[in-house]
Amino acid sequence: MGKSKEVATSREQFVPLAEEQPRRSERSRAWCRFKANRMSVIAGAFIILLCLMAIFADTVVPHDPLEIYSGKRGVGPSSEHLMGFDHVGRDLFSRVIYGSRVALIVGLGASSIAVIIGVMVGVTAGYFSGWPDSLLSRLTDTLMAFPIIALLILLAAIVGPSLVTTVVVIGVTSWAIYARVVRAQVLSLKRQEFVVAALAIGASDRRIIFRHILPNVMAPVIVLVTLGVGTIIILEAALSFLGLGIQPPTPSWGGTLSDGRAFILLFPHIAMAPGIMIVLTVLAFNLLGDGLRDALDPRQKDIT
Amino acid sequence: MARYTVVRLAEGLVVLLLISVATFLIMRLLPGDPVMILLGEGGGGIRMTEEQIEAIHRRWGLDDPWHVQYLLWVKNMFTGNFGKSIFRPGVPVREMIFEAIPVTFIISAAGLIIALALAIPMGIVAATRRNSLFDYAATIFSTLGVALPNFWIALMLIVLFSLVLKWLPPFGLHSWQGYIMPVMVIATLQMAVIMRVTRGSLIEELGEDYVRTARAKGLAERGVIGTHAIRNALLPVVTVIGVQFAYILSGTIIVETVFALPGIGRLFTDSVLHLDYQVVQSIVFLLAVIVVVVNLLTDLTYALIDPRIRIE
Repeated sequence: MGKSKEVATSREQFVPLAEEQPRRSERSRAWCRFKANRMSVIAGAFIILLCLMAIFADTVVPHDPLEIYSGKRGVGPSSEHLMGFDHVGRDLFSRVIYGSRVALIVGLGASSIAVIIGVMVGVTAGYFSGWPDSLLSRLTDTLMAFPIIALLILLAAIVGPSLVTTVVVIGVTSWAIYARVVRAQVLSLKRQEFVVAALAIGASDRRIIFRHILPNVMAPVIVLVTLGVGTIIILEAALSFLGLGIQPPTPSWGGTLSDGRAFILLFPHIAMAPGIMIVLTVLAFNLLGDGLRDALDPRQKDIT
Repeated sequence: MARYTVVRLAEGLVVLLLISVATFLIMRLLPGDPVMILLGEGGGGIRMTEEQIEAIHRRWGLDDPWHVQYLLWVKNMFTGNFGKSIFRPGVPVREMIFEAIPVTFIISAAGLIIALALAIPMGIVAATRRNSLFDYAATIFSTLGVALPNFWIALMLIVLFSLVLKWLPPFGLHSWQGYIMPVMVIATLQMAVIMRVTRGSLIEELGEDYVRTARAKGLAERGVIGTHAIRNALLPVVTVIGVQFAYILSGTIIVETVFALPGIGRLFTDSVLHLDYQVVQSIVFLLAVIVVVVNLLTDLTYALIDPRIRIE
C-alpha cells in the first residue's frame, strides 16, 4: 500500500488514516485498479502522446503536408522522409501526423454527439416507461440492426462531404449502443431504494434524473465512450476512404488509404503508415476502455 | 411460443415501415436533380427546354406529390417491381439488384461460415486451456482483429497475395479466385468477435454448479464440455451473430469497393453518387427486409433454445 500516498494527493480533503486500514475513496481505489493494468496505462500514454501530436502538429511536422516535391512521386521511405512520398509527391510522414487531427476531432466530436443523444434517449426510455419506451427502443434496435456504413454514405451524400458533416453524421448514427445500455441501467436504478426514497419524499422527475440517476450511469457510459472512439475512428476512415468524408487535399488517414488503394500495385508503401496509425489508435482506445471498465465498473462484462 | 412469434413479427413490420418512410424522405432530400445529373455537368451540353425537362420529370413520376410517389413505391416493392434505373435508363432495378445479390451473398455467407468454423473451436480451446500459449495467442488475435479496419486488411492482402506472391488477382471478379481475399477480410473480423464471445461465455459456464456436478459424477471432461457447457455457452454466440449481421453487410460495402466487385454494396455506393433514387431506395428496403428477417430468426432461435425468453 505504499502507493496510496501519491494517490491521496489527488483528493484534497482526504487524510490517510492508520496505515493498516486505509479508507480510500471509490475514485482512488478505481485509479489503483486502473494502474495495475499495464496495457491500459501504456494505451493511455499513447493516446496522450497522440493528442499532443495532433495539437502541436504545426511544430512537430518536419515538412509541409501540402507541399509537392517535384520528381518525388511515390518515392519510398528515406532517412529524410521517414514514410516516403505519396502519389503526387507529398511527404507522407507529415500527412499522417496531420491526419491524427482529423481522427481525434471526429473521434471525440462524434462521440460527444452520440453520447448526448444516446443518454437522452436511454434515460427517457428507461425512466418514462410505456409508449415512449416502446417507440425509442424500436428506434434503437432498428439503428443497431442497420448496416451503419450504408446510412453514413446516404447522409454524407445528402449533406455534402466535409469535416463537420463527418462529425455530425457519425454522431447521429452511433448513439444506439449508449441508449441501450443507459436504458437498462436506468431500469435497474429505478427500483433501488435511494430512488424510491427520493420519489417518496416528493422529489421531481427532473431532480431524480439529474441528481440520482445520471451520476450513476456515468461509469458505464465513460467505458463505452472510450471503447466507441475506436469504432468511430474506423468509420471516419471508411467514409474518407470511400470519398465521402474528409475531402482532399486535407490530410486524413482514410483519405491517404484511398490514395494507397488507387496506387497499391505501383506504390504499396502509401497504404502502410496510415493503416498502422489507425490500428494503433483504435487498439489504444480499446485497451484503455477495457482498463477503465475493470477499474470503474468491475461487475460489468463485455458488451457486444 | 406462438404469441412470442406474432409479437416479434409485428415489431418487425413496424420497423420495416419506419425504415421505408425514412429512406423515402431521405432520398427526396438529396440535392440535385437526377435528370441534370444524368445529362452530366451543366446539362452535358444538351440544351433542353423547360417543357422537355418537365416531360422527363412526368415520365419518371418525379412531379407527383410525395405521398403518391411513396405509396406507388411501396406497392411496387411488395410486387417485386423495383422500377427502372434513372442512371441506366431502361434497365429494370430488379435486374441490377439480382445481378449483384449473389456476389454479396457469397462473400458474406462464406465469410461468416469460415469464421464460425474456425472461431468456435478456437474459442473452446482457449477457454479450456486458460492462460496457455494458445489462449494468449488467441486473445491477442481477437484484440487486434477488432482494431483492424477491414479496408486496410484488404489492402495488405492485395500487397501480400497479388504484389509479392502474385497468387491472386488484385481486383475484379474474373474467376472464383476473386472471392478469396474478400472472404478472408470478412472472416477475419468476425473470427475475432465470435472467438472472444465463445471464449468468454464458455469460461463463465465452466464456473457454474452444474459443470461441477457433471465433473463430480465422473463425467469425462470431453462430455462435460461437449454435452453440458457448450450448449449454454453458445447462446451468446447466437445473439452476437444477429448483431454482427449488420457489420457484415457494412463490411461487404467496403470490401466490394476495395476489390471492385459488382455486388450490392458497390451498386449502392455508385447509385448514391449518381442520385439513382430507384436503385438506392430499393437496396435500402432490401437491406431492411434482410436485417429484420435475420433479427427475427435470431430472436426465434434464441427463444427456441432458451425457454426463459418466451415468458417475458
